[in-house]
Amino acid sequence: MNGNTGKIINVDLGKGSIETELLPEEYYTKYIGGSGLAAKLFWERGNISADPLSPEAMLIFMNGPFAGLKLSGASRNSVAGRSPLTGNWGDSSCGGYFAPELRYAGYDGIIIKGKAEKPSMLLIEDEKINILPAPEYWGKGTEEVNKAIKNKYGKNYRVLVIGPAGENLVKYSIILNEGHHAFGRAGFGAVMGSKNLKAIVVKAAGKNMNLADPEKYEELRAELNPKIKEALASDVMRENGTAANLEGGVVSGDVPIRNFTSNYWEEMGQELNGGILTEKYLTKRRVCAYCSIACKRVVEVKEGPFAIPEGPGPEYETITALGSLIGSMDLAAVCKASRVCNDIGIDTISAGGTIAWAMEAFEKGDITENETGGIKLLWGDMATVIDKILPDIAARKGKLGILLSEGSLAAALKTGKDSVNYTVQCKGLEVPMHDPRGGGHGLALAYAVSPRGACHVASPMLFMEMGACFYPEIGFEYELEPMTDENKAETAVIAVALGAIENSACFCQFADREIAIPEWVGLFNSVAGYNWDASDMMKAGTRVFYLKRLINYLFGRTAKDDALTPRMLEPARDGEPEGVFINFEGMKNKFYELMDMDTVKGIPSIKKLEEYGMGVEAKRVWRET
Amino acid sequence: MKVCLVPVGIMKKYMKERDLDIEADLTAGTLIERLNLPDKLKIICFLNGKRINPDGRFTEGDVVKIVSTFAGG
Repeated sequence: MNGNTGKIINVDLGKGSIETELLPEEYYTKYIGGSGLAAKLFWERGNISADPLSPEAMLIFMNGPFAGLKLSGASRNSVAGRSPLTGNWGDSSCGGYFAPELRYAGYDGIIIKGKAEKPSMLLIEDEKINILPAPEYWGKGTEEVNKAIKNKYGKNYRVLVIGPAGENLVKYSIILNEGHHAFGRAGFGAVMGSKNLKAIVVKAAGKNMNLADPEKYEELRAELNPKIKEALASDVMRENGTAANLEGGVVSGDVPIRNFTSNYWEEMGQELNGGILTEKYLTKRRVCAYCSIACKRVVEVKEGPFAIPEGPGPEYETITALGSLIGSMDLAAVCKASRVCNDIGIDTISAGGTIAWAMEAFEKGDITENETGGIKLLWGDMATVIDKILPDIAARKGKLGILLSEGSLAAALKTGKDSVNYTVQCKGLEVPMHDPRGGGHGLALAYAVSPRGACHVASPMLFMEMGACFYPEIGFEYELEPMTDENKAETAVIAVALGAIENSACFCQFADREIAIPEWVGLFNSVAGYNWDASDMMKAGTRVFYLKRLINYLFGRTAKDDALTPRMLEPARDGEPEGVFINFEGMKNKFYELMDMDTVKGIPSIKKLEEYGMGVEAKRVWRET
Repeated sequence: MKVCLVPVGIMKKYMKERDLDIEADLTAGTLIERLNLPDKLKIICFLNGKRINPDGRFTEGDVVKIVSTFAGG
C-alpha cells in the first residue's frame, strides 16, 4: 500500500493483548482515512449498544494518507467512536506531532477496547508495542505528565495524555498532544479515562514513507508549501493567531456574548483580539508538524491575579468561549482559564458553553445557590471560574461541579424549567464560537446536519460563506451572501463532502483552504495511489458523510435531531444581525431533498446508498421497512 | 463629500483610518474596489452598526467601518 501503511494496532486493555492487522485497500479508497476510515471500522466492529464509557466501547485513532509528509497542515490525526457527551457518533481532530510519528512507526491507526485493571499507558516503538503500568501519572495534570514522560523516554517521544477530568469521566474531556494540541471535542478523554489509559506514547526509529508517485508528489509539494505559507490568511494568523480578526467578528455579529444573548460588545472586541494577545502576552509562535502557518500561540502573563508562566496560549475558540461567552473581556484571565482547561484536560468550547448556560440559569433563578453549593454564578467572574468552577468540574466535586461535568444539555435536563431552551447545542454538542445569526446563515444548517453535533469544522461552510475559497471544478464558483439562505442548501451539499474529505485526510482547514480541487486529487493519487478523479473524491466524501449518518441512526438519531435550540433560532437582540430570522427549516428541507435523505429517519434512501456503493449498509438500516 | 473610513480588526494591517472625499453617488462596492485591498479579502462596509450592500450609498460625514469577513476557529 502507498501513502498509508495499511496497518493498524488492535489493543484490548482488558485482556492485555496487542495485535496488528492489515486492512483491505478498498477501505481506504472508499473511506479515505482519518475519521472516515474510523467510521467504517466502527460501523463494522463497534458495539452499538455499548455505553461509550464501558470497556466494550471502541476508541479509534486514525491517520489520514498524508500523515508524515513534509506538507503544511497535512499531519493531523482523528480520534473517533461513540461520544460520551452526546451518545452519538463523535470524532475530533488534533494537530501537533502524534500523527507523523505513528505513521513513521508503521501504523495508520490504533483501535483500543477493554479496560486495564490499573492505570496504564501504551508505548509504541515501531514493532515493539507494550501496555505499561502508569500509576505514577494518574491524578496528575497534563503538563506534568507530558514532561515526565518526555524526561523518562526522550523529548522526541510523542505523547497523548489525559488530565484528571478524563480520569474522572467528565463528559467533555480532551486528549492533549505535547501539552498544547488537543483532540478537543466530543469527550474522548473520558473514554481513555474509562479504560484506565492515561497516555499513549509513540516513537519511530526512522521516517520511511512509500509514495505512489514520489516525483508527482514532490512537484505538488513544491507548489503547495509556498502557496500555503504565503497566503494572506496564513500571514494574518502567523502574526496574530486565529483570533486576529475577532474585532471584525464583533462588528458583523459573529462572536457570541453571554450565552449567545448578545451579538455586539465593542470594548470586548478591542480587548480580546489576537493583536492584543500578541502585544501583551505572546512570547513565541508555534507550529504543528511541518506546518508553515504557525498559528499556535505561546504566552506568559507576568503579573496580576491571572499571572501564568510561559506556556500554551489560547486560540480563537478558547478566547471567545472562556471570554465573551461567559461575560469577560479580561484577556489575562482567558489565558489562565485556557491553561487550567489544558492541564485538567477539558474542552474549552464545551466548558465555556456549559458555564455560560449555568450563568444564565443562575441569573434567571432556574438554578440557585442550593444547586450550586453556595457558589454565585455571575457573568465575567473569572476568579470563580478559574479557582472554583473549572477545578470542581474536573474533579466532579460539589453540587455545581457534578452538574456541569455532564455538559450543558444534561445539566439543563436535570435542572428542568425552561433551561433546555437556552442551551446552545446541537445533538448535545455545544455550539462553537461562530454565531450563524451574524456569521452566516448557512452555518446554522452546517451545525444542524453535522453528524457529531454543532461543529464548525465538519464542513468548510464558514469559509465558503465568507468567500475564503472557491471550487469551480465541483460547482462552487459563486459568491454567497452570508446573511441569507440563498444557495446555502446547495452549498452545504458540496461542503459536507469537502468537510468529510478534509477530516478523513486529516488536513488542517486553515492550510487546505489554499488547495484547489485538482491539487487535492493529485495529492491523493500521487501519495496513496487512489487513482481518483474529482468525482471519485467527492463521492468518497459524501459516502463518509452518509456513513456517519447511518451510525447515528443506529444510535437512535433521526431527522428531528438535525435541529438547533430556540436560542440559536431566535432573532439576535442587538448588533448587526438584530431582528433577522434564519430560514432554518427552509434550508434543512432543501438540503434533505438534495441529499435524498428521508425526512423522518434522517438517512439517505436505499437507492442513494446503492449509488454510493453502500448497498450492504443500506440493508442494515432499512431492513425493518 | 467627505466620509471617514475606519478599519476594524485585521483591516488595520492594510489601511489606516482616514477621511476620504467621494462622489455623492459612489456605491459601497465601488468604494471597496478603490481601496486597492488584497483580492483575497472579502470586505464589508458597516454604517451605524449595519452592513451596507455593495449598491448602498453614503451621506456627508458618515463613519464607515471597513471589516473583513476573515474568521479563525
